[in-house]
Amino acid sequence: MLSILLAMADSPEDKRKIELLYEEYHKLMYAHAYNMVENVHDAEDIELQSWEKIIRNIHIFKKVSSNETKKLILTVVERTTIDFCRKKWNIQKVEQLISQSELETYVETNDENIETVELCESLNKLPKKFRDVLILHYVNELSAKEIAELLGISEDTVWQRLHRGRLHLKEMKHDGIF
Amino acid sequence: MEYSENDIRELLLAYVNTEMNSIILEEMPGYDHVYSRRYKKRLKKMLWSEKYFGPRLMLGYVVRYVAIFAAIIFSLYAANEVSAKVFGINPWKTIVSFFADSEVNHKTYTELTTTEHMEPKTIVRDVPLNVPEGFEVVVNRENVRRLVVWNNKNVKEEITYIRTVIGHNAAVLEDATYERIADIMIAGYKGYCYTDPIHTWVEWEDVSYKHVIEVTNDSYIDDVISMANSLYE
Repeated sequence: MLSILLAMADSPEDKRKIELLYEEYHKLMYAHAYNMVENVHDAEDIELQSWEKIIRNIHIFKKVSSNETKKLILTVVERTTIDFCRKKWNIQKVEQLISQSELETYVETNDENIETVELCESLNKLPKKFRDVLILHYVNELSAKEIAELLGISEDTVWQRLHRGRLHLKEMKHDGIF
Repeated sequence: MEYSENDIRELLLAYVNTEMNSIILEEMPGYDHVYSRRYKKRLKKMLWSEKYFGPRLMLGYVVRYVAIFAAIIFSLYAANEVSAKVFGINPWKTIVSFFADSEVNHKTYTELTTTEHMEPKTIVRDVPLNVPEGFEVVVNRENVRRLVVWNNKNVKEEITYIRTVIGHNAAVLEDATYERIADIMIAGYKGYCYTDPIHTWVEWEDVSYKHVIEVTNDSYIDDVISMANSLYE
């Protein structure tokens, strides 16, 4: 029985990956969750629930130390926070959280990065629900099914958001934002 | 000019890089947070499940709970057996017997007539004779009923005699969780020998009383019958 159970466990590479991910991102995950809920215990719970989600979807994390992985992990934390708050509080509070979860508060502007900050500000105008799906698809190279599982939405919604996100980008380019 | 898939990727990648590079973790609120014991405990449990069951965390949790349950059951079983062997008390049996269904006999007496007993004998003494060797009287009293208890300290056995006054239509409720092992005659009266997991006793009724002589070891049963007959001799 034990040998069957052990055989079901995944490869050692995946196990090592989870340890490396934990070492690198657990403080960031907590800080991001805390920034949204402003409660120590809730932030810990959110971090743990996010880890459960990451373990279940460990195959989508290709590299450990990369901006793409960092963004993916923060998206998981944001999504978990929204689900957590939907259970605990009401919808209105969750809507506030979605806007609070923007990372622009940490961005520091200086002369050297002014162009990229402008790009950030421009893309921040794109509704978050479209931006997240676009990033997961284009940057993290996830399939619609994987995005749907991660965000807890249907595949149809993913395709719809991808389509609308592209349209938004097209409009923004047409308006000369990029 | 239309956006190609590659253009979108480049644009979003630049956005992600800018956004992520700008994060200064040390300046974020909660950076110096000291995790609670509850968090550490839950994390440990989760990482254990991940170690052995990979992404199937729920399976890991279930196996963990089953193992804990099995360990508790095994510990209780072991403690029960040790208690039974070392202290002579089996807690499980005690609890089960406490909650087991009890049976109660409701008995209404009918006066014995002289046609049934041509020469009805009556008791001639209050305390039976022929008590086995080594037993000493430790209780001898009478209020509603007569109670005599003999004790043998050497073999840690006890004999108890209880005599209750009965009359026509007197009703008695008594525990009935026992087994009748023999029908006997005591001085011409019909009697019965009973046993349960703790005692063995003889019980009979004469014209005035209900008598019970109880012993903690069934090897004394012949002595008990002899004690019963001695009340009429």
